[in-house]
Amino acid sequence: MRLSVAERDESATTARRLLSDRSTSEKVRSLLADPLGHDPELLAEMVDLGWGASHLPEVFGGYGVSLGDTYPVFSELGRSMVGGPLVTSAVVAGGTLAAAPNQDLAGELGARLVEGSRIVTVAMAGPQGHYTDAGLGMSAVTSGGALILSGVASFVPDALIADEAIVFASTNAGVVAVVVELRQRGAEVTPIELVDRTRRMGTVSIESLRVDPSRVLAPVGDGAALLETCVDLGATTAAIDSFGVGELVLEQLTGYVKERHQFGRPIGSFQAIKHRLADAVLLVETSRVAIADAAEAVSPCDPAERRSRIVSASTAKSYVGDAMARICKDALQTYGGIGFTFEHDMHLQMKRVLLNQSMYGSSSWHRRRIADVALAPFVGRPA
Amino acid sequence: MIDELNQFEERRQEVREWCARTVPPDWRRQQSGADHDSFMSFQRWWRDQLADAGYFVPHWPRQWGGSEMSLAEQVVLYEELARGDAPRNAISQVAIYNSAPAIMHAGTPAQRELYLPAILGGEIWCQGFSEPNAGSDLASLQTRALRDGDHYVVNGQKIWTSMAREAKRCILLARTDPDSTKHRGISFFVLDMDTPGVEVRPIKNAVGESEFCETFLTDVLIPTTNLIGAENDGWAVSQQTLGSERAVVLVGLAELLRRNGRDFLVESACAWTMPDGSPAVEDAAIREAIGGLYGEVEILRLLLNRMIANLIRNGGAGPESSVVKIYYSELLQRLMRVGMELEGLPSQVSRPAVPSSGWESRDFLHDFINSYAWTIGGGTNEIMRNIVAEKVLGLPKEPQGTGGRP
Repeated sequence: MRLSVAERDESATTARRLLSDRSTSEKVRSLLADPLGHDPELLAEMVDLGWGASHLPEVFGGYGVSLGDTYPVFSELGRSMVGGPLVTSAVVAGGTLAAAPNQDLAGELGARLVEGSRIVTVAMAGPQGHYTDAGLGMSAVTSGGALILSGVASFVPDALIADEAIVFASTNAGVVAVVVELRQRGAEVTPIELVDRTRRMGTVSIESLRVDPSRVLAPVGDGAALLETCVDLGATTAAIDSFGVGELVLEQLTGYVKERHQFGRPIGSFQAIKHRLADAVLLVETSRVAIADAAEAVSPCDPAERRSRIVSASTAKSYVGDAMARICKDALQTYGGIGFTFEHDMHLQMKRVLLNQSMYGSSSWHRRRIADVALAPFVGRPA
Repeated sequence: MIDELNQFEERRQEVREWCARTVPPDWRRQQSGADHDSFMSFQRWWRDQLADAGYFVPHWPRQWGGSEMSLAEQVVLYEELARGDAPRNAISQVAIYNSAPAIMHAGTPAQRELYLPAILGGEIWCQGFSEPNAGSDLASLQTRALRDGDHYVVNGQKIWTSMAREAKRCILLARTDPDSTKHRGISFFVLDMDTPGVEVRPIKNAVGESEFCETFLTDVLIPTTNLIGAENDGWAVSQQTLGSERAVVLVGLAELLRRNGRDFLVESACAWTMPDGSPAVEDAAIREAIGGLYGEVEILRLLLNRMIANLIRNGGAGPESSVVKIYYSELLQRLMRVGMELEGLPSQVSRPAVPSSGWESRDFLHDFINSYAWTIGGGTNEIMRNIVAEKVLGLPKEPQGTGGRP
């Protein structure tokens, strides 16, 4: 289902209004030291507004709207530096469930995710932070018809608050995906102290946990494809979040260079400053179309075919991730000393964008993913 | 994808079939290393083909012999011409996109009757705006036009007048009020290039082509009937270029960059090897470079789609066209530079140019050097960045100099 332009604008306006009121700089700062790093009331309100459900299939209780129409709401979460598991659970995990081969399990968990009674995260990368078959933190062996899962998954978003995790594990025959209850014996979750204090990640350690066959989301043979889907969803959400931050950084910086006077004139009248901000406009405008395209491509209800999905998601992740990081670096330099203080939001914005740049795969890896697709027709390598 | 384009499937099919019939399959080979005369006669032939099909001035009103295509229809046309590997119409740009709009907007009925059919008939025009001391600071131009009865007497020097040797006429900016400075006191003329006192000297450009020229004007008489718009109002007249239509032409350029630039790079890279003999496309750094450019070319197309969609729905090209110009030109340059660097020493071998091919001649080094035509021409990217900062963000203007006066 598609929204009209008016409906899209309305939901983005609602989001900006709500979040500028409920996630002010003071509020964000008050949560920096909080163990869970978010406001449960705001989460409940966002769930009530349907932000977690709109882009998910109707069989989950979602509204079946294209993510290409609803993603601006998630860029507002970046703009207001909102913490909490909404995006991880509703978009990354929810979108992965929508694509999973085991729709019995996906439907049951998806329904509880949509109604807000369960929070789901995704566990992929090992300690090196790679999102590939070879980089997975968990492995599984088959024993007596069941999978025995062991290992350490790092950088699991919102691990401390999530009820369940979609765990990708390597086996000697390929990747599998299983759903694991995180608060049970045999699973241990420890927090990771991130530099970006607006978000939370954790490490999930599992020792010889028997996984019932009914909890296998994608068996060997389908797991690798589901891992790609999950990476594309995560990559796209990271780009969308960064865009929200970067767009606001440019707006705030523009205001500053018009007001700040040195040598008897606004510093925004100096060409060195002007060109830096013009570059930022270029980066914002090109990123704007890249995230819209990626959101369309990974949309859980109507995803693009695999190759164009990968190109769009990886382009957004690498280009927008780098572009917004560049805007933050240039902005901090342009603010001068004031931008280097803890009191200014610049460092919070920069840290959030830098985490986005690294999570769900580095920019250079995503560019190589695009090349895998681009070169496949010529070199006959599997892409 | 822009929804509005779907209603022009018939037009798309028509252009596709026309290209298949009309574009000579071996034109690149035929035009490879073509000398100036061969280039010109090929260009004239190609222009006539476009005109016969109604694709020469697709945006003009029917009244003046155009095809009155909507913006969406023009997008379809330029997409299909690019997909059909059509040559670039390199000789008509000034006539169609710079001269005609000014004449349609500010010309008298008699001037329109005289000039528009001539342009439609294929007359080549050139543009006498820039001067040796008036490039980015165009408004400080010094060419003088002094009124003497029913003529103006013009003295001065113009530069970068593309196609001046072949041009029948020139749109000329000259200062008619010697006491004024900057944008005031400039008038807009049509100059017949065979008028006595007009001397044209070709300038060889950095890739060895002689498309643009210096034009010297010594006591040249221009009849007052050739003044377009009011005296001293020439700056405003010169701003009448068709922003929207020019933006649409970029769709074709983006499509060409994708097919003849990026896809050619991907294909070429497959043949290259590393010093250890392994295939270049298995090298991580090369894969990263290719993947990055691949995505950036996709973004160009997305950016244009958004601009075109806005144009179709809201009309008018705003300062966002400066964003597109900067992004396109720098992406073109970057892609060619990376292609040249990755190809390595073999890219240094001189190859015959294909002057009708546009900006992707499948020779990375040549195209890299030629790409400066885009980052410098049409307003340097530095000026474009000033426009973006001032018009999009509202940053204050730089304090002005004294206009060359103490």
